[in-house]
Amino acid sequence: MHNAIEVKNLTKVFRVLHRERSVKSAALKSLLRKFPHRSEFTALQDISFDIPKGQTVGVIGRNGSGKSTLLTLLARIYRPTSGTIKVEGRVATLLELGAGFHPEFTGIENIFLNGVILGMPRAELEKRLPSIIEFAGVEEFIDTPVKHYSSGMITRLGFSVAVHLEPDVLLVDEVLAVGDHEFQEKCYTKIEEFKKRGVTIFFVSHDMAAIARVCERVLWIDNHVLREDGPTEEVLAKYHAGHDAG
Amino acid sequence: MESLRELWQYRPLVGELVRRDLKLRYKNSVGGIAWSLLNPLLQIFVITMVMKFIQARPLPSYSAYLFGIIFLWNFFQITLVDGCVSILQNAQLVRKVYFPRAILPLATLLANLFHFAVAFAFTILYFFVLGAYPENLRLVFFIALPAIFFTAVLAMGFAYMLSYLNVLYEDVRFIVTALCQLAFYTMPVFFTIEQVAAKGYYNWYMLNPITALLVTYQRALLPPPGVAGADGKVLPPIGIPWDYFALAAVTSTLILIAGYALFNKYQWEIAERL
Repeated sequence: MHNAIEVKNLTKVFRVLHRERSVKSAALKSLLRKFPHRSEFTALQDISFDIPKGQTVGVIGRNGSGKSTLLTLLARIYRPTSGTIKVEGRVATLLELGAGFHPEFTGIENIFLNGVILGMPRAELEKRLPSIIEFAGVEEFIDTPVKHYSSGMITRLGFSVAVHLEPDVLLVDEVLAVGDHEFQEKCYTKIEEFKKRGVTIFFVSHDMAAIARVCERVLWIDNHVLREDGPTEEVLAKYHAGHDAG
Repeated sequence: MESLRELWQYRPLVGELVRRDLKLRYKNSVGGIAWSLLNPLLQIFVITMVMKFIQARPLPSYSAYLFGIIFLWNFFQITLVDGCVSILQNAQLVRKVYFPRAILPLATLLANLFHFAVAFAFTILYFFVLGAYPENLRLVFFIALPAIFFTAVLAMGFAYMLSYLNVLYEDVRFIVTALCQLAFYTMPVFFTIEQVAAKGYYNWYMLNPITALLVTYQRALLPPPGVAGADGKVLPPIGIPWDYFALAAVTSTLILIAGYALFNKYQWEIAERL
């Protein structure tokens, strides 16, 4: 079986440059002979794992442990400091639903804009338009500018566009926590559908119940290193034990 | 090279972003195109009136020659300023979705090129109304097109450099705006290129690529005017400055290559710094 994601010895170090944000203040500081100083921050240290095609993997860990950085690296927004990442197939990233929505545009206009940004051709979007609108449940407001939408509606529309991409790999960050119960159920149904179709899902969440529900494998990132990697129940049990002890 | 291929693959996104820019500008205004013409037209009107008032108009059909400079200069300046903020303005997108970052300044350029195309068509129409065309419409008119093209190339090169710098320092765009305003007064707007030549500065003056491109554009649209010098004699007319046009084309291309290379080198840093 082929791997959808291969990560080898991945390390990400952020160089935080305590630098002036404007030319004006930089010029002033250099006159006063104050120069910027650097500090480094390791977000991820030597992480390796392979994910076979079609697996649903959850990532857990405390705030600031490096989970989201990992997802951002997989989405190619950041570049690794060292190590390699290979992701095969069409990737849909749900780091933030409705990223790239423009408040002045109507629902339909935003579907096209967002869809193209996420990598779907216009013709394909046109074909799926009715289904996208129906899934989001915003039929009545589809010609209204998005600035008049509630945050729930924006989230639903964003999710709907993303899941209609027909991705091979789906990267999800904590986005299912929003939306009402009914919409969450719809999302889980969609995720089940994806699993059946063999889509690889990479799922970052604090919601242990959600992880237990959809994931077959869990990566536990603790203090910037990969602490556990195994079947969901095993890792979750260790995670809870670790927490109770701590 | 790899990055250029990727840019090509993402052309649907470029199209969509250009469409977004255009729609946004015209969304809530009736006759949106007219609004984008209004500003430069007022500018031309005011300059013509001022020059008439102080009796410094170098030639009678002065406003026509202004048409042959102001629109292209405005395109250049707006592309610089808009391109400069294009990354910061789309920060939300850059932090959340992957796509070649070079797309953003490019989409800004194309949207502004569209506005310029409208102004260009308007200019030609105006020349016909004025009676300057068809009499002065010559074959060299077509040189205006490469002049526009290289102006776009030059603007793009600067926009790539500036958009990266603007991520580092947020006040770069104010500096750019101020410098552009200063640079405007060095363009042949309040005087003609013949007057510059009469003072003996021609060879220095034309080294600035944007000046050479604007003069080329103007002289492609209209034949050189008869400008009276200080002693009342007509100054030697200057047609299309072929040599400086060629130099400006080379300079612009080099600036684009340098700007793109710089942008590409640091494109990964951009998301981390936003």
